[in-house]
Amino acid sequence: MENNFKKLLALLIAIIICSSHNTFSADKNPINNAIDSLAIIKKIKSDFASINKKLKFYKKKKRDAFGMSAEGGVVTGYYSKAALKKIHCVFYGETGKAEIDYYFNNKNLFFLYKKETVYDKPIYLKDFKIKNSIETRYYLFGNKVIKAIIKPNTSLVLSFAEIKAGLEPILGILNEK
Amino acid sequence: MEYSLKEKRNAGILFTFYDPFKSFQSFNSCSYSSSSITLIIDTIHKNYLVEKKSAKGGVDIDYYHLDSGIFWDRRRVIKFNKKANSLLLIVENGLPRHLRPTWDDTTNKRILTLDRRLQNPAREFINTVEEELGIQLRIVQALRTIAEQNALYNQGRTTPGNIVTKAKGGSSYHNYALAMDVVIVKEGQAIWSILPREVVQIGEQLGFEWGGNWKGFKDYPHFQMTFGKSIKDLKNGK
Repeated sequence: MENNFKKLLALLIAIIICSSHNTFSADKNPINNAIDSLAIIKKIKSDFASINKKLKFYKKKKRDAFGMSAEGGVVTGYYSKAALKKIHCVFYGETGKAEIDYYFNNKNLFFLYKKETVYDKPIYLKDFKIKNSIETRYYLFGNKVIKAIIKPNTSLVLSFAEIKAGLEPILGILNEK
Repeated sequence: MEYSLKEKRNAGILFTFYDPFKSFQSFNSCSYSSSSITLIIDTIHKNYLVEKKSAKGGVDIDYYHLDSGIFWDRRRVIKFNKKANSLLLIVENGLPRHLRPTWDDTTNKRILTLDRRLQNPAREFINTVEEELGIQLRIVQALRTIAEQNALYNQGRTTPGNIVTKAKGGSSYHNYALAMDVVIVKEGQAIWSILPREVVQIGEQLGFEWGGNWKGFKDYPHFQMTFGKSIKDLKNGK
């Protein structure tokens, strides 16, 4: 009985303190933000999966890409009517290659996937082999990176501005006549 | 610091095996393995009176000059980079860095396959990196022939293996002798790691564009001089 009374008292005090300091309202944003981010990431995942499902129905524009790496590459744009939905890039180097996918919704970049394969020595040397692969995923929303996954983990995480700067020359190649 | 060395007349037993000024190697510039550095420095201090001359090199690099009346001896300098733990014997032959052969015969031969405009900067690059940083670079590829480029292009298309290039013969700056790839050589082994920033800076100061700056895929060993010409220009013979 006495125990129950103590618990009730503690609960009442906690409610009074919280309401007087507006504690719940202060915490509300981070909790909601976390929930929002999870919801946004879920939406991004379903959006790029949906784009990938419809790829064969999109109009394709393919361009050779020289000047971005030592061994050239290809940039492919996928369009639904006139709207750019995805860019797939392959860039070959002497010591590896990079595959990059940019996903768009209403002209806004919302997801970036990059896979870099690094060789142990240049391609013209005998018996070169794959040394490692780095996979990067950037979830983007409202001109911000809301989540970055880099495997294996490195300290280098690009900002939204850096990602956009990297996209500029690729759009330039794609829009070449 | 810079030191001058005077041979000790009453040294008794001279330790010649590790004396860089007395071994047969001392006719050409060379580097010593990191395991022998302590022995060589000890031998110098046993065989010579070591006198400080100047603060050149600061706390990281020590230079040892032979204080000798013989012209040949005066051209030889030991450079001990304490930070990089490297030891070099530099034999000055009177030629500036861009004309002096590099430490490596293979590199010297490959430089001769480069476009003439690249040969002097390439020599100066390798020599400067060695002398300033104590790092030995080898050029692993300079000119790549059209046939070699086509063989790479065919890989994964008409010959076994994975596709490794989109560049057919004539689509790489190597095909025009305007590019070279370098690797660090340490104790006879090629070290395929990212080049130190200081090495890249020396290359860029000499006018090379570095492959590590590319946006698509970064090729850290690659340096090129394009003289403002695109691959398309070069293909069209411009």
